[in-house]
Amino acid sequence: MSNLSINRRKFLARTSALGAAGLVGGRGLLGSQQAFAAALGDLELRTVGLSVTVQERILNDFKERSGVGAVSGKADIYPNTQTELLSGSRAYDCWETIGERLPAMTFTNTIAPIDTGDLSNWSDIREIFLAPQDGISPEAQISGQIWADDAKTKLWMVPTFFNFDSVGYRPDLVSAEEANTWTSIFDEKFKGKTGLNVDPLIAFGQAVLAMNALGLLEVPNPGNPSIEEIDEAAKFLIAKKKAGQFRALWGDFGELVNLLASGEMILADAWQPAVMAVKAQGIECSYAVPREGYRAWSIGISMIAETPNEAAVKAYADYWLSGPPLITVSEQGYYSPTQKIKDIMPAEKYGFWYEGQPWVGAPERGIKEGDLRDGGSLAERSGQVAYWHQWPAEYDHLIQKWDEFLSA
Amino acid sequence: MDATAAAVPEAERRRNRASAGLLRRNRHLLLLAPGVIWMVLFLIVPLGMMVYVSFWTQTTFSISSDLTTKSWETFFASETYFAALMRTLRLWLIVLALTFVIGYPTALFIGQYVTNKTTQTVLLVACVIPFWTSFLIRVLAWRPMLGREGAVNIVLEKLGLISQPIEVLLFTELSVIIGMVQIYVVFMVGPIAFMLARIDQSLIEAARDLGASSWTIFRRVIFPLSLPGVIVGAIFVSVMVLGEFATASALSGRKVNLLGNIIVTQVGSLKWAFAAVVGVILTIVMAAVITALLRVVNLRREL
Amino acid sequence: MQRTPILGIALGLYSALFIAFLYGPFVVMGIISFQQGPEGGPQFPIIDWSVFWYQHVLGFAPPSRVAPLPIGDALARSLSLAFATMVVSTVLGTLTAQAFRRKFKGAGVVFYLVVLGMMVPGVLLGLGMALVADNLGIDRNWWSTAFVLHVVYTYPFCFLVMLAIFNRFDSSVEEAAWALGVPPGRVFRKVTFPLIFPGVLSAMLFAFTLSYDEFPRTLFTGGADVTMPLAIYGTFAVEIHPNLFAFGVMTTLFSFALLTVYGLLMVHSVRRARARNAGVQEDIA
Repeated sequence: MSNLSINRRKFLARTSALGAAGLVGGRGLLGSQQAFAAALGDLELRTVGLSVTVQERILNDFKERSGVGAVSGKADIYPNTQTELLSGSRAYDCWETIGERLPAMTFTNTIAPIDTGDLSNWSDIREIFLAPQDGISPEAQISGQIWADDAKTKLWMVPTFFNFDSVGYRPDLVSAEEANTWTSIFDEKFKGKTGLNVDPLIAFGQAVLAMNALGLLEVPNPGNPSIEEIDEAAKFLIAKKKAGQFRALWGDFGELVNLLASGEMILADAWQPAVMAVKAQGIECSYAVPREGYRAWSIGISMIAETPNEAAVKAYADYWLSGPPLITVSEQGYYSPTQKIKDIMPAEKYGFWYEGQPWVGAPERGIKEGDLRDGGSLAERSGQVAYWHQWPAEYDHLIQKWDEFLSA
Repeated sequence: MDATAAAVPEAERRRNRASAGLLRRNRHLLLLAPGVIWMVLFLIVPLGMMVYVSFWTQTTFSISSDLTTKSWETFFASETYFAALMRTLRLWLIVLALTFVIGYPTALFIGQYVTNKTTQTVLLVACVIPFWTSFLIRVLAWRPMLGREGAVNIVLEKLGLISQPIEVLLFTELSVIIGMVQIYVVFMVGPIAFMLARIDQSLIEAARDLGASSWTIFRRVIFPLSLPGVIVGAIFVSVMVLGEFATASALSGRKVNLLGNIIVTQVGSLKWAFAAVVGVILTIVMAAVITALLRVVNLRREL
Repeated sequence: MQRTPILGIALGLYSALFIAFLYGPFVVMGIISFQQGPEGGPQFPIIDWSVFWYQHVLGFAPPSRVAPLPIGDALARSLSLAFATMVVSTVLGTLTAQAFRRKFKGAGVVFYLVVLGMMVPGVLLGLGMALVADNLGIDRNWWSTAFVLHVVYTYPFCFLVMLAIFNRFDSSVEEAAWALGVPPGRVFRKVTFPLIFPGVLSAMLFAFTLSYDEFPRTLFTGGADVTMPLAIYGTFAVEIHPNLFAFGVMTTLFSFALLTVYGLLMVHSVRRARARNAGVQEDIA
C-alpha cells in the first residue's frame, strides 16, 4: 500500500512535468497558455482493446490518479476494432493493440507516434524493446516493429505487456515429454482432442514451426513464410483438419479456458494466463516448454491520429508503465516491459512470476506453496524465442489459404 | 359502425367521401413513402457503398478506390468458395425442413386447439422468451449440454446406455443443426400459428357436415389456408440461416464454415472488397430463394 | 377444427415436448448457475452448490478477481433500442402492408426493396453504413447509425407478418365504413386495427426480439457505447464465468414474471368485460 501512495505522489509530480514539457516543446494544437489551462481535467480518454487490458478497475484507478476528466473503455477483439478504426471511427483516443497489427495502421496513418520524451516511465524499459536480439533478423522482432523513427525517439505503440506462448495441456492425460513440442498439436495420438487458435497469423506460424521439427519444411522465420511455404503449411493443416485432428478451433481467452477446463480439448496452443485460469478452477493444467522455442508477442497502446485528447493518451500510456496495472497483468501470467516492476511488486511474488522461484505463502488460484511457474524465469524464456509475431509479407495469400483451411 | 356513421353530419360525410376518393387513389403513395424513404437511405445507400467497395483494389495493408474486378474473379476462380456456398445451401435445406416438420404440429396445436386468445398469446410468448437471453449465452449453454463431459453424456452414462462419451454431439455439423433448429424454429411456428388461428371455424364445420374426415379437412382446408404462414415462416428461417455465422462457428468449434463466416473472417482480415463480393452473392442467393418460395404462394396475390 | 380429443391431447403433449426442447439449454444453464464461486467454471461437474454467481450479478458478492458483468448501461441501451426499433418497424410494416392491399405500379420493386432489408448480410451492411457515415462525417452511435440498421432489419419481418394477416382479410367491413363516409384514418382505427391486432402484436414481438439480440449490424455502427450482445461478447475475451448463466436465468425468470402478469391481467379484464355485459343485459331486460 505504501508503495502505491509513494507512487501516486511520484506520478503527480511527473504529470506536471509532462505539462511543463508540453509548454517548452510547444507541441500540440493549443497555444502554450491554453495548454496549461486545458489540463488533463478537461480531457477524456476513450480506449478500446482486449478485455485483458481494458479493465474497469484499471481505468478507474487511472482516472483517479491522473485527473483525466472522463475515462471510458470498450472491450473487443482485434479484428473487429481494427475494422472499426480503419473504417474511420472517431469514437476512440487510443487502441490497446498487438505488435503485428501495426503495419496496417501506420500505412493508413490511422495512428500517430508517441514521443518517448513524453513518457516519464520509459527509462526502465527492457532491452528487447530497444535493440534487436541475436539470432532473429531485426525487423522480425518487437524492437523492429514499434519504433516510428531510426533514432528510436517515437513509438507507434507503447508496449504494456508481453509474453512467450507455447502449448497448454492437461497433465493428467498428456505427459510433459509429449507436450513439450509444437508438433504435439498435430500428433495423431491426440486426434480429436486438440485445439488450434483461429487467428491465421498465429496458426500458420505454429504449423510451420511444427513442420520444421518434423523435417517437412526448413523455414528460418516461421512468422514470415514464403508463398510456397504457406502452400505446404496449408496442405498440412487441411490434411490434419480433414483427418479430425482438432476438437475445436478456439478464438479468444474465455473460449480457450472453457474448452480446456470442460475436457473438450486436452492439448492446445495456449496463453499462459489461460492455463493459470484453468488451474484456478481446480483443474490440472500445465504449460509446455517447447523444444522449438516460444512464439513471442507484445501488446501496447497506440494513439489514434485524430484524437483531440493527445495528453490523456500519453498519460494513460505512462500510467501503464508506472506500476499498478503491471502488477495486475503480471499476476495473470504476462510480463511487464519495464524493469520497474521489480521495485513495486512484493519480492516473493516477483520471485515466483519473474525469477522462477517457488511460490511462498497461502495458496492462490490453484497455485500452492512450493509450486514453480511453468517454463521457468523470464530470462530463461526470453532466451528461447522461436519467432515474434509479425505481419507476413505474403499476407494476402496466407488469408486465402486460411479460408481454404476453414472451409475444408 | 352505425354509431360512427350517424355521428358524421351529412355535409361532412360528402366532403369526406370526396377526399377519401382522392386519398384512396393516391393513398398507397402516402403509405409507402416512409418505408421506401427509410430503406433507400439506410439500406440502398450503405449497400450501394459495399457493391462499390467490391470493385476496390485491395492491397496487403489498405484498400483504395481504384476499380478492379479482381475480387470477383477470385471468388469464381476458387473451389473453396463454391464449396462453402454448397455447404451453406445444404445446411439451409436441412434446417428449413426440420423447422417446418418440428414446428408445424405445435403451430397447429396453438392455432387450432387452443381457443382462448390469451392462452394462445401466452404460449407463443413462452416460445419467444428463450430469445430474450442473448444468443451468445444460449450458444454457450449448449456446450455443457452436448459436450464430452456434458449433461447428455453424463445422463446416458449413468443410465448405463453408453460406456464412452458420444463425441459427435458437439463441434460437428450435427450440433450446428441442433442449435439452429432450436434457435429458428420459433420463427416458423409464429407465422403459421397466426394464420391457423385466423381460419374461419365455419369452413371447417361445413366440411365436417359434408362428411369429410379429419385428415381430409386438414389436407384440403386447414393446410392450404395456413400456407401463407408457412411461406412467411420459411422466408424468415431462410434469410436467417443463410446469413448465419455465429451459431455455426460456436457450435462447430469454428470448423463448419458458411458463407456468412467467410464474410466475417474477410472483414476481420481487412479484405473488405472480397467480403463485399461474398455478401452480394449471398444476397442474390437469398433473393432467389425468396422468389422461389413466393412461387409456391404469392403473398401479394388477392390483395 | 372439429376437435378430435385424442389428436388434441397428442398435439398438446408434443407441444409440451417442443417447448421443453426450446428450453433445453436453460436446464443446464440453471444447474450450472449454482456452481461454486468464484473458482468454479461454467461446466460440469458441480464442485459445490452456491448462489455466489447470483450475488455476483446483483453486486452483493464479496470482491474477487472476477470482474462484474458490464451490463447495467448496456442493458438499458439494448432495451431502449429494441423498444424504439419495435415501434418504428411495426408502424412502417403496417403502413406498407396496408398499401399492398391494392394493386399498384411498382409493387414488385417495393416488395423486394423492403424484403432486401432482411437479406443483406448484417456485417456487410454494418460496414457499409460505417463507411458511409465516415464519408459524411457522421459519428456512429447506437441510437443513430445502429438504430436505423436495426429498423432496416426488423421492418421486413413486420411487413411480411402484416402482409400475411392482410391476405385473406375480409375488406367488406372497411368498404362499408368508407361508403358511409367515415374518414380513412378513423376506419383504420375503429375497424381495421382491431382485426389485425394479433398480427401487430406478433410483429412487435419479432421486432423487439430481433433488435434486442442484434449483433452483426451493431458491431461496426454502435460506436463506443456497447449494447447488451456486444457487452457479453466483450467478456468472452476474458474468462467466461457462470455469472453469465445466472444472468440468463434471471432474465428468463423476469420474462416469465412479466408473462404471468400479462396472462392474469387478460383473464381479469375478460372476466370484467363479461360481468359488464351481463350487467348491461340485465338492465335491458
